[in-house]
Amino acid sequence: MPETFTEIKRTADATWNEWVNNGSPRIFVQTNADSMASGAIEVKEAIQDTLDKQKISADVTVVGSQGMAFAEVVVDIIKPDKPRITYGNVTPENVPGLIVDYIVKDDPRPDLALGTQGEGEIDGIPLLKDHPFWKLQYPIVTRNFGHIEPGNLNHYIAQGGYSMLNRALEMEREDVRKEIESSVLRGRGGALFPAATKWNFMMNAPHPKYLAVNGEEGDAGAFTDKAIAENDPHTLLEGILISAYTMGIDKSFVHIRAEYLVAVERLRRAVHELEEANLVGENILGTDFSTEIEIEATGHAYICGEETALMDSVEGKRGTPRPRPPFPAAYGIFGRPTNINNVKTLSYVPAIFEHGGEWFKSIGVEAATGTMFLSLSGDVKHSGFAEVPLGVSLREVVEDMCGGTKSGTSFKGIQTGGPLGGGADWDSLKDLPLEFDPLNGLGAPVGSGGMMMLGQGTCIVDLTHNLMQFNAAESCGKCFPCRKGTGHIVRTINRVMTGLGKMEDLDEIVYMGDTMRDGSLCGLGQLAPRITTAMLRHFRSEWESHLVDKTCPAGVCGNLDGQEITFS
Amino acid sequence: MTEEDVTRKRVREILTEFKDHQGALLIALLHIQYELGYTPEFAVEDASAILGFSQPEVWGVLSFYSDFKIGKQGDHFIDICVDGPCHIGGAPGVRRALEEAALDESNKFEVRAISCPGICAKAPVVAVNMRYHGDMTPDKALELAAKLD
Ligand SMILES: Cc1cc2nc3c(=O)[nH]c(=O)nc-3n(C[C@H](O)[C@H](O)[C@H](O)COP(=O)(O)O)c2cc1C
Ligand code: FES
Repeated sequence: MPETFTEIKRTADATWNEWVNNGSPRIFVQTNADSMASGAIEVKEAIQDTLDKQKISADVTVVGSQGMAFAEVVVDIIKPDKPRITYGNVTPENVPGLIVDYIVKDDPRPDLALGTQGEGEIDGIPLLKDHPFWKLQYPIVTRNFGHIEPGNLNHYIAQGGYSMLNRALEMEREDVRKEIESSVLRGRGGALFPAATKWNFMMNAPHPKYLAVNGEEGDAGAFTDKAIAENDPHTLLEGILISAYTMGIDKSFVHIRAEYLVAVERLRRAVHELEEANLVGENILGTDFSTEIEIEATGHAYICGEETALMDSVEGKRGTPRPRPPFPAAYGIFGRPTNINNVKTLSYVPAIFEHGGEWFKSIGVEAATGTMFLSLSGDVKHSGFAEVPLGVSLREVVEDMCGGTKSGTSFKGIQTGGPLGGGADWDSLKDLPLEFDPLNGLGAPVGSGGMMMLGQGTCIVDLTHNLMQFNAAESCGKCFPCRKGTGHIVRTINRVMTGLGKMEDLDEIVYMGDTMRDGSLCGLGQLAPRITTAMLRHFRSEWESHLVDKTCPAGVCGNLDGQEITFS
Repeated sequence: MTEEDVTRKRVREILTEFKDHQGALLIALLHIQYELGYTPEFAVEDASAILGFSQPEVWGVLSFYSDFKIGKQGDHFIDICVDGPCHIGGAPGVRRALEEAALDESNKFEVRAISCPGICAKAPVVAVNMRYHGDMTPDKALELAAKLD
């Protein structure tokens, strides 16, 4: 007899309470691939070392990252009956002082603190939620980040996890779908298709049918799918299971890049714990619903995020797009009906199901409901990831939340939506809301939420060259307009950068782009010229400086004397 | 056994291990790449023989996914991300510094360009023997390189 959900929940709550109330200080090390790149592992070792040397008994736990990459390594200390204090820029060198000062001598070290979290206050330390980086944020998919051990099933269930799966399993499939549909959740992979409407195509499709979970995230400057997989894999998995139940999916393939080592490991652990608890597999929780989840660690190729190419990649081949129709809902993975959703899209499902579609709609604006999970990179003081309601003003996002540029120069603009996205100058952007349509109209689509901030030290021509080179390298080569067009545009921009260009080159770039848009087989070739078109539209004078005055205003292209340089 | 024999034995083991997997070719090759840090050229012949694909099919997969780095020229690998955020964050300078140092220190390490591993908030990013380090500068990168033996 399998355990009922009530029994599973009871065990989880007991385990959680025991951990929370064990009477000793608890230390969290916010650990993901990003913080590891700043030495999170070394910090954790230094903490353990200090505790051993000082004979302090405390519990050290790896939790997920809260996205404050700018302050990493981030460590939290919770002393019994005290609020949690979050410390930034922790290093192996300052760890011993911090531990001894706060845990032994009761000096909370306000100089290292970013803020406190949860109830209660500590003199001299502000509340973290008042930090400019947090004021705008509205955590939905990120709600557990930094609060639980990633992939730990008991921790997740103790936060209310999987109770929505349990509830869904008792409902009619169509009712579950309708609840999600009422939220107007639009796909976060970039194409913005309403998720539950797409599910409609699958409801009556014949078995076996599959769900492909798109975590390829090949676009440089986007890292939120990785963030979910690393910091709270169970939110994604619960979203997958509820969606799988709704559509009657037999097997889900979570497509994630093998090089996301931490993400893959934590997802695998999470799936394993689900299997042990009979929350995935045969007759889940004693119902007649059976479904499988496989974590597919696959190769890195931007085009494999395109839905038809992704299916080849799941089959272990080169990922080349197929013409549509047939659509994946009719002919997908191994020729079977397949639904494709992005990692973020599915991760919203449990919360929407819990609080209702109306609640989700009330967070964003009518044309863009809910939150957007942003990847913040480039010349920005507060780099990292952040979840904000759609509809907030970009000025607040950039000037307040992001804290301006890192270099201290003024903002030049934002490159949005990855190399297939676009961008615009700050003057055109600053009075707009973070919303799909207005930004699209400007040629700066939100896409999957990647935002590369540009300061005055960035040369637009050089950046466009880099992004277009990326698109050229990622072209699968199957169709002519994309294969030839991307390379041709790269060479043309190269001429501009080296002082060999003519004004007509700019028209040529636009003309080539139009041909690619109209003639390419898949989204990559159709969208690749968007970046050049947008950058020409908004930063024309910078291109002209290169061509006419032979100067690079940002001082990046040093070589405008007509010597062609080669790029590798 | 020479070093190459040991590696080759391991490569064949991995290929055999994944033989019956769905999508075996890609999965096995990725495994080899991430375990060894590179993909030896003989893996093409071996994958073809063990998994039953033609050699061009194996090359097709290897050349398609940017994970694969064929062959090995140094004792260590220093990978540098060259995509957008890292590029504007100063990756070209870091790369030049490392490449010059690699020339001076013939074969101690090999500098390879990689595509975005999603640590853009810490741009520019390098990976020394597949361990990532963020917020790179030419000086910090040279320091990391100097620690290699
Ligand atoms: C070249 C190209 C790359 C894409 N890359 C991704 C990707 O990395 N992740 C993703 O979720 N969608 C990507 N997409 C969009 C997918 O084709 C598809 O629309 C999406 O996964 C559907 O999920 P959603 O409806 O939940 O957004 C890409 C599309 C194109 C044309
Ligand atoms: S662009 Fe270098 S890590 Fe993303």
